[in-house]
Amino acid sequence: MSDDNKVTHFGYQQVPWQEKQQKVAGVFRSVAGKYDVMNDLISMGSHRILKRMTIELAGIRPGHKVLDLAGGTGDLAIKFSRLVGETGQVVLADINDAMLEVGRDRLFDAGCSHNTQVAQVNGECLPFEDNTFHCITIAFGLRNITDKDAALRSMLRVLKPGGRLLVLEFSTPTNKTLAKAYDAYSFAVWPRLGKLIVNDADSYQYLAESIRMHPDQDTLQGMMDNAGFARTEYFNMLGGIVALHRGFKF
Amino acid sequence: MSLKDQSRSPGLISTTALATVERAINTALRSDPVTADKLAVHAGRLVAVDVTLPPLAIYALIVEDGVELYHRSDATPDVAVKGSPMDLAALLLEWKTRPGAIAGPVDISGNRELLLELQQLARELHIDWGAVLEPITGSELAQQLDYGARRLFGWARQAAGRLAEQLGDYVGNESGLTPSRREVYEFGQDVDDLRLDVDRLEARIQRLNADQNRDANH
Repeated sequence: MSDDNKVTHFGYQQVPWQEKQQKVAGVFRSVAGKYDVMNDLISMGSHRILKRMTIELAGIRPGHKVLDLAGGTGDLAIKFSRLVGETGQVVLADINDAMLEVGRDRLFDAGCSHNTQVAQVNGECLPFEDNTFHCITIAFGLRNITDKDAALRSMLRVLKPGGRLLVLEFSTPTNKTLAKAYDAYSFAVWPRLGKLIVNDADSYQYLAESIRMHPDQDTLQGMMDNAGFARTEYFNMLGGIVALHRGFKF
Repeated sequence: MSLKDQSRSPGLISTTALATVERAINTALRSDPVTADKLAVHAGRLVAVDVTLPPLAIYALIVEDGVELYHRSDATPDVAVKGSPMDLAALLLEWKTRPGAIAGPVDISGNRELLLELQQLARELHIDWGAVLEPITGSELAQQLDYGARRLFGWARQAAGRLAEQLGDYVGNESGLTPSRREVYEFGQDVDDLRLDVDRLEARIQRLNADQNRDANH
């Protein structure tokens, strides 16, 4: 099938391959200003704890170079900036200009401008030299990338040997009762909160649908293996509602 | 950090607890700008606290606007302290303790001057509960709560001091679980005497060996 005829999912819809990126961009432009507030509301604050756990597994030391991909409003990048210190460097990267604008302002306000850079990039073809970063994180971003395999290969390329990738992403609950309760909560509450807070129910309907279309834990681990990552593993969080995948480049 | 440690799943509850402690410390620092400014001088320094029982590691990264706490870190800490929770609390708060009762040995490695400065800052930290609570309760109630909190914490600090003294008395004098200061002193004297005796004996053996070698050469 030629690229012109390829389709992919955008939530539960099937859309032409080339259109997903534009549609996802539309979602994030719509919610960028209140992205963090909405995250706090729909996750009931738990996303902050999950990101802390990600930071703890990142193994970042002073002097490291870190890429926070799909870093959006910069909450991870701010923490990384402090961990890498004066001799390290953090790149906050996102494909979406509206999210990056919020992230850049937050980095500046947090006093992190001395060792951070902001870059608008496409995760499928990262514009960095081979073997650049000690660590790459992508938190709640891989789900929105059209060609995830290409993105994983691109991340592997720019990682230094010995470096690690951490993928924090919604996943598949391990308990059926929890899964039902979670479905009910996310499909009933998230779009309403979206309507109430950012006047956009559709974006949060997309969020709930896109989570169900995302590969489960084992499938994503297999994709990381296929891309060339070594010692891949995952940690279920909140009963598998979220999973943190980790892989190394050797 | 070992590979085994790195593969351990981070705990949701312990991470939440640590985040809560971090928030409490930073809230306290925001209400005491003088201490916060003194702490900010050390931004970038990492302090490792290794609690022995229950086993627990906490890494405190000092940042410009407070501290960040983590359960693990691959970075080399500027100063590391290791001990039981009570020993560490006694070190931090300089509780009045008796030898062998509460404040036991705390292993310290790295920059001791930094640790001393942080101890001093912890003791000086003045939490303005009124400022913390005012956005929630309004100024009138906040002032009353601040006054109440001061009395409560003052009482708690005194109670902790009294507890340490009484426990020290009990453990040291009544239960016989730990030796008294005099017993420790006498034991130290005995060890010194024994060391001197061994030194003298060693010197005598060396002298006899030397005599024996001289006789053998003649």
